[in-house]
Amino acid sequence: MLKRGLLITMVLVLVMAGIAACAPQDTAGPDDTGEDDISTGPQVGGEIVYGFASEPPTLNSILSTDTTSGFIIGRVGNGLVRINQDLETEGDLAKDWSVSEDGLTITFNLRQGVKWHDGEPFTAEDVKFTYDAIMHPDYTGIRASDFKYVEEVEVVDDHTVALHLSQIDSSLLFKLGIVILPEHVFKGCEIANLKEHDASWDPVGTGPYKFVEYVSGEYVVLERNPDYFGEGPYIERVRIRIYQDEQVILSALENGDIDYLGSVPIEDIDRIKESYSDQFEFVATPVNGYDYIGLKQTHPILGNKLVRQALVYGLDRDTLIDTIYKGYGTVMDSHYPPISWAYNPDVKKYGYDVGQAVDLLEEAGWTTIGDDGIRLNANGDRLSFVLVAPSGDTQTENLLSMVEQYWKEIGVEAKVEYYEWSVLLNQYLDVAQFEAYQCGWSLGLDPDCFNFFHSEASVDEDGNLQGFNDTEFRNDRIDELIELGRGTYDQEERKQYYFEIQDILAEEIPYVWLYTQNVIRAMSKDIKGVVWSPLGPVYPERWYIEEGGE
Amino acid sequence: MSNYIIRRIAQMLIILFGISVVSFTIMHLAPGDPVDLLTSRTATPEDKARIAATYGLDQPVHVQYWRWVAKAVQGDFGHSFVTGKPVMKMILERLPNTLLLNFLAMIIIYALAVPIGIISALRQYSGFDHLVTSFAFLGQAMPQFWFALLLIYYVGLQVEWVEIAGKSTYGVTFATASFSAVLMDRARYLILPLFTMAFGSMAGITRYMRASMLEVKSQDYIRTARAKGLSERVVIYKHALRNALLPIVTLIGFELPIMFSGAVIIETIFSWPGIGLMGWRAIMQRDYMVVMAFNTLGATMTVLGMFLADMLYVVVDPRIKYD
Repeated sequence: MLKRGLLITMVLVLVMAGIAACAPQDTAGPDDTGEDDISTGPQVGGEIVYGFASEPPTLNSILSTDTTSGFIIGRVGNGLVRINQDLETEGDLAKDWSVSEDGLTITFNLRQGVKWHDGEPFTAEDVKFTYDAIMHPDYTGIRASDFKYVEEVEVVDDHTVALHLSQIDSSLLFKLGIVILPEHVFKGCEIANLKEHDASWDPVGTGPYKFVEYVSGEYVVLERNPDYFGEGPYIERVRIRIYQDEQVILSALENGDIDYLGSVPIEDIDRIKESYSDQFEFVATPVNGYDYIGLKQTHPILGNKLVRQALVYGLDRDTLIDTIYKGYGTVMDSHYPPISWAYNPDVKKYGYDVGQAVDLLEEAGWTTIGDDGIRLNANGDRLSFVLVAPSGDTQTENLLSMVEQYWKEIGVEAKVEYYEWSVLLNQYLDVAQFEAYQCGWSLGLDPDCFNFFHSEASVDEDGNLQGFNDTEFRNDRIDELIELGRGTYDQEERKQYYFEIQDILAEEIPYVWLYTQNVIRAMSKDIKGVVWSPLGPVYPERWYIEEGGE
Repeated sequence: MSNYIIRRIAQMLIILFGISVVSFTIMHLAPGDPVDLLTSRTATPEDKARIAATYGLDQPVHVQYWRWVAKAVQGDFGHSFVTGKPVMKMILERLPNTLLLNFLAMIIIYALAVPIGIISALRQYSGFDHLVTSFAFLGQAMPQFWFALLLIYYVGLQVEWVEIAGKSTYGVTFATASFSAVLMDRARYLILPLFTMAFGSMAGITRYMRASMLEVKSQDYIRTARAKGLSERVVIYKHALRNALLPIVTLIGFELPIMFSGAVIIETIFSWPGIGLMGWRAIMQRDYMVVMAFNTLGATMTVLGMFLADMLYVVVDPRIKYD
């Protein structure tokens, strides 16, 4: 009896070991040997698979606004310039460029011999067509304001194009990364109907990858362009799998179905790092943007600088980051995130200081504490306001419940109300009707902040919002500095202006600056040759898969 | 009978028209405006007016409605504000996927639930009955998404053959691989979503069948049939069953609109490229053309489904006559 039991146990153990050994190992590559791979250098072949949780609403470069489209378009096409691993602009379709004496004309010398995927040659006409479309009165996209100061796009010859500006706009250069459209394909199409043109779904570009197909809800496939004008591409096929849920993308990563994930969900980071460090490289990158709480400058309570400063002193932002983002974040003290070249590390810092917060509130006249713990002023008004926020995000809800608590302790009542995004925009933010709100911005790489803080980006005489300055922040010196910053191409000079802007903003606190998030990106170790910029992996056309890998 | 059918068809058209008016009104009354979602926050009122005009959103609601109806009866449901694609094309791209999933699920559910329900009724209070009842309650009580996630983690990630997301493996199509290879490939993706759907819904149908059978079993005419000397088999499988199936027929009629509506939860978790999620997103994005096409599709299917159920009754139940 005993022997039989032992035999059965041994068999069971062996069977289980067998099953464990057969568990999916799709991403196992040749790196398991443990020795340094003797690289033979880049080789053509293989496939890289990405997972995205949203479907591209269009594949037209001048109309797209979301990350999935941008990702696809960025591989199929090129702009005049692109961003290198140091987050600076370098020539893409433009070989080089020069600026005139008065700074009002930028002349671009375009690369020669570049062909569109359908064989037609790329010329300056394509650049003119693209920019003219953006500036056209019937244009239905959102980039028109980028070209606000461009008066004319001149085709000097087939390979030279000049932009004539009405005033110096140093922020323009970064915006010329927008992918150029083929004029010969879109010719004759009404600008108002661009989105409906076939080529907005079947893009023709000059880039390292040609568009093959998009099967709705399933995947997008790109294949290698052997005639690409730059280095590479090596990887034969790029496949983008469409998933419908973030959690499922993570399961797909674990299942070995995808090679790269742009953002590992926070709750799973530790577990994934521990279990998958053989197969994936994990890199923490900051996002180029931040979260904040906007405070209406014309509000009777929030219009007082002392109250605003107190609100910041009353928040323990380090603990917020630790609790909600498990430490993967950095406190923001002013408008620019640390990766920006204009970032000023020496602005006024507000640590968590309840004593200081209370002093400021009392100085502002909120001296009495009511029976409910909320402060009152001499007129008996309560220190209370409504804070609106977008619904549907657990992190936002966790954040705001903590914020409510912190502020309650210093006697401030923030009544949080959640609204669906389209309602929030339509009824509160876009009409600038709110007391306080929580949101985040995603920034461009150029530090020009006209749309955020200039008084002309605020509400005009008719009550219409002209930019993102919905808190109605108005400061003459900031207006001046923004205009100066835009008006010169000298980076060192611009830096001085932006430094001063940050100092003023840190003092005035039109927004309670919360934090910028650090996301963890996972890249399969089968993909070689990956170069990382501070914001993520770059130069995808230079990556390759070694023989023996996927 | 043909009079009846003609009257029904006329009724259906009126109902559809009424539903379209109500849908359109509710959609426009809801807070939120597609123009805000389509333009950037720096758009001037002139920009917004221009976009509104491009999409015909500047017209009064009844004018917009008439424009929509005029095109809809010709089969043109307009273009999506968000993607620019013709709406019918967008729906037709994804509808077959939803239909496939729902149809297969329906077959599995009924093929299993009906016999199990019958046996359960015939062996009332037996061990089998108790087991089935427990599973039924378990299936109904369990949140579908939770069960789906369990399946993904404990089956999908462990067994290589079972896929956890999507519909097919890239490159395996009828054009490039053998028929059986394609079927096997599709099966790998269908197995988890079908299992989840079946487990959740089987409960209801099984209990329903059981209750119906129990009721029929104790009817006088069954006793008469036995008294006439018919074998138990004939009594149960011919007479009792035919009558017990009547309520099920109604259910099948209702299945039609459900089949077209897409199970948003299942489609989300298994990344099944169906129309359920597309419809929900269209609502969030205030993509009016897509939302209206959806509502029209749903309404048409519901109305047709009920008509079908009523017609089936005539076939199945000789007591019913329409004139």
